[in-house]
Amino acid sequence: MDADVLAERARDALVAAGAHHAQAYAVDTQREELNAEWNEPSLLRSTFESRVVLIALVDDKKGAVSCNDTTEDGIQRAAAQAVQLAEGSRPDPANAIAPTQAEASFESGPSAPSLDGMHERMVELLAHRAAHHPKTTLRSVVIDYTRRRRVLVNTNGVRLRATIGAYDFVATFSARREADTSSFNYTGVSRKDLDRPVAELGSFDRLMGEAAQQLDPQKAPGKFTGDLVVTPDCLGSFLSPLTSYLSDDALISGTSVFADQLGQRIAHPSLTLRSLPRWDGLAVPCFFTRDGQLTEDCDVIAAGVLQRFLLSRYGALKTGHERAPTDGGSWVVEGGETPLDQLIGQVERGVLICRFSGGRPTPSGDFSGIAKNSFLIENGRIGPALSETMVSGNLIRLFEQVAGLSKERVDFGDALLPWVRLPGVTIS
Amino acid sequence: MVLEHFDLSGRTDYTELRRQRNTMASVSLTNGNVTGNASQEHAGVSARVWHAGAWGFASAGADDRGAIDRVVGAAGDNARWLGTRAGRDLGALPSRPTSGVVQVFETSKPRWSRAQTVSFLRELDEHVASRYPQVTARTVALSCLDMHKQLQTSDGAESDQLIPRTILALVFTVVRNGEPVRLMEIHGGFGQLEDNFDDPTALHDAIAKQVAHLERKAAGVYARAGTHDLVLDASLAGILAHEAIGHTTEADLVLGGSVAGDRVGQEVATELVSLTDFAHTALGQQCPVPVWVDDEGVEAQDVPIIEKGVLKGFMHTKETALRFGVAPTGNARAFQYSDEPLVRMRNTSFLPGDSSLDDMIASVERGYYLVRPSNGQADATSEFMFGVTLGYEIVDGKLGEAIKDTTISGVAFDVLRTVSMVSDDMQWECGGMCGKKQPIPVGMGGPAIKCRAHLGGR
Repeated sequence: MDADVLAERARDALVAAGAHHAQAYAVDTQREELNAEWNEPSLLRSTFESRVVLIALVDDKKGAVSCNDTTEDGIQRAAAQAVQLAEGSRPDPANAIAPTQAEASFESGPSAPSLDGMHERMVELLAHRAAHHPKTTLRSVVIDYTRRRRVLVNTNGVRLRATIGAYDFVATFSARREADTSSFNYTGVSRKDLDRPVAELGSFDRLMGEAAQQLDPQKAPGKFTGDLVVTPDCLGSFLSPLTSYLSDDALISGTSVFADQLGQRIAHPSLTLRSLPRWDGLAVPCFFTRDGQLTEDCDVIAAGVLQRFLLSRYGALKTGHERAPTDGGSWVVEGGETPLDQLIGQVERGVLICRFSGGRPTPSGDFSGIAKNSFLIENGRIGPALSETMVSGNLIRLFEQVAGLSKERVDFGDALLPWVRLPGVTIS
Repeated sequence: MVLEHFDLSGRTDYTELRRQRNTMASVSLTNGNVTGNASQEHAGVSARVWHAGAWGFASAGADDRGAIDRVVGAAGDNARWLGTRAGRDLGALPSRPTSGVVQVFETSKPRWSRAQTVSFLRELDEHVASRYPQVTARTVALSCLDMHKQLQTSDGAESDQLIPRTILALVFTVVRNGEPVRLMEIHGGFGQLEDNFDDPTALHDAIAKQVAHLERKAAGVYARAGTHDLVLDASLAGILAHEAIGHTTEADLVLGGSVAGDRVGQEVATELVSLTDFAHTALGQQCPVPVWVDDEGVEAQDVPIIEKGVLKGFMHTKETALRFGVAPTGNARAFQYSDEPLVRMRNTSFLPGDSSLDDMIASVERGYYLVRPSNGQADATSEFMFGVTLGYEIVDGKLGEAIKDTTISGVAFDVLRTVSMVSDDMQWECGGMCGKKQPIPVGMGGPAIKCRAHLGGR
């Protein structure tokens, strides 16, 4: 069943089942996924699924059912269940469906995959590894094409449609030399096309090469306080908890340390973080949010000042703040004026951290974890690869003290990120 | 749900056909507000075909005869498309089919309505709100997952398994010196909602302990960054088994370069250490995530990984077993109907020793007693880490101040050589969910362990 028809039938079934307000979100997903394992093509996977999420409001009580049984009977069962869930819940005036908006349709990316093109790029990457990084084993490579048609309708007259096709490239790898092995590492990029070899995208070539340099790691030279130079591949590990403090869960529960900081400086003036779901450079743009709001590009932190929270409609109504025109993600961090080699050259002692493997940061920002695939920096020079090196600190303090951002940035297709120098970390 | 018999016996290429339905019910309350109230169902059929050393896979979100015909045909087309290009003929996959296995666990108790479920959670929430006003933020979240799989393979396997799991997470926050401090506890485990919970007052003692731990944690200190003598509580040993050793000995990771690859038959731990990936029953008790037949139709067998300190072997699918020239072990598992089976753990656990927890703590002059884990990660080098959300200093053999959240890390084959005491009891963690391309529920267990490892801190 077409997503348009599915969404409309689901909305109408909700109303027929007794919903006072109803919203339905249908998604058709087609995926062709080519896999390689251990340097060889291994699997071709084809999946197709139609899925619908039905939301019923009954007297300010909300129930949601997600199912992929798109038969007439299946939709009616799901609608009746959503209404039952709502009736069994508790009233909350913040429960609402998307308000009336103009009808809108969007399209992006290729409408069909090129399997031969995907295979060509896969074989080319495997050959690149053999020729240029022979000590590196590609534990897994996934090149996939995904096309999603999303349709959201509700009883307020909202009708939003988006059809997006894109390719994703992900590799996991480590180096091996006799009995020695390096830590595994991974990277990924999204694209609208297959025009460029995978090794030329994002960080693929650099990280595959660094794996061999990590075969002779050393422990950190004792315990010291130093700088982290966070690579673009690793920056998400630090941004993700930071943005979680701006989101529904933290703000509704009252545990966000930024709850009273709107319009105030929460980070160093050199830090500007944008969410750009409509940016042309994105392989997978987002035209409307999960709860049915047309998206807009926006600043979240501008020159260190908190511009907005990342709240859904429900979160906005619960907290009294403005909702965000984005679900988050599509992150762009503005680069600085300093070339990367100078950024590293300014570090007296620290770590070039390429992957962070740690426990979840606390609500107050404390974190600790291992610096994986990382290198010691001493006197402005990159030294040996590190093993068994723990880094600990407080995220909020770190972002207040950003000591520099690189001019260079890496384009991942779903984010554009620089290298960031963060001082004052305990390294042990 | 009944999989109509589909004749796969005449197929020249090895073929699997799986019909699967995952149903998930979830309800969450935040400070008394119902912030989540949902049900999800993912159901459909998938087929996987092996041709000329390559796999083809296809799935559809329907399960009628037409859908089955389509996915079997498409999986075969995909396998031939890739097989002719991949040019790697590895030979026939090993065959050890099991048929007639039916393990369908559904509660015999009356099912709760959603109103009853919300009422149960609200009673818990209201108890905390009224009894512990110092708790400034409360999240009470329930998730119930039923995984029902019916499998046929062209080498003759047939099975039908419904494995349910119910998880209740209680997350409490207090504020000390302007900073929020949080502690989560997980309850539940194997079985459906009604098998796990009945009267909310049965959880009151556990809640009282959680709040007491949280208050001590709020007044706690940072751990000293560095290497220390540690006593890992039994509730935390399971994640050590899973992250430190389990992943390192999954055969696909071994093929990818894991350091365990060269160490079979070697001493990798003190002789106090034995570790097994149990299929469905451990020490006479059913495991939290029992698997009788895996998703390749192989009878699931226990995999002894370390016996008295010696590395014994790895966990296998049919393909990795073919590459290693051994028998498959029944570790091929997929999460959704639309996922292909991967090498996955089932119930990974250290085996008990003969010490008592009290004696283990008393034996430490200066170190830490670590009690609750959070997320973890493994590595090809066997360097592991996991978060620790509750722990205490040990000073002169006695528990001291609580510590703030920290992270434990080490190289597994080094840390296990420092194990000097193992307790005589054992505990399964009930909420394990492992991520490796797909998520999958896992069991993790063990006794308390005394060892040396690295802690993050100040």
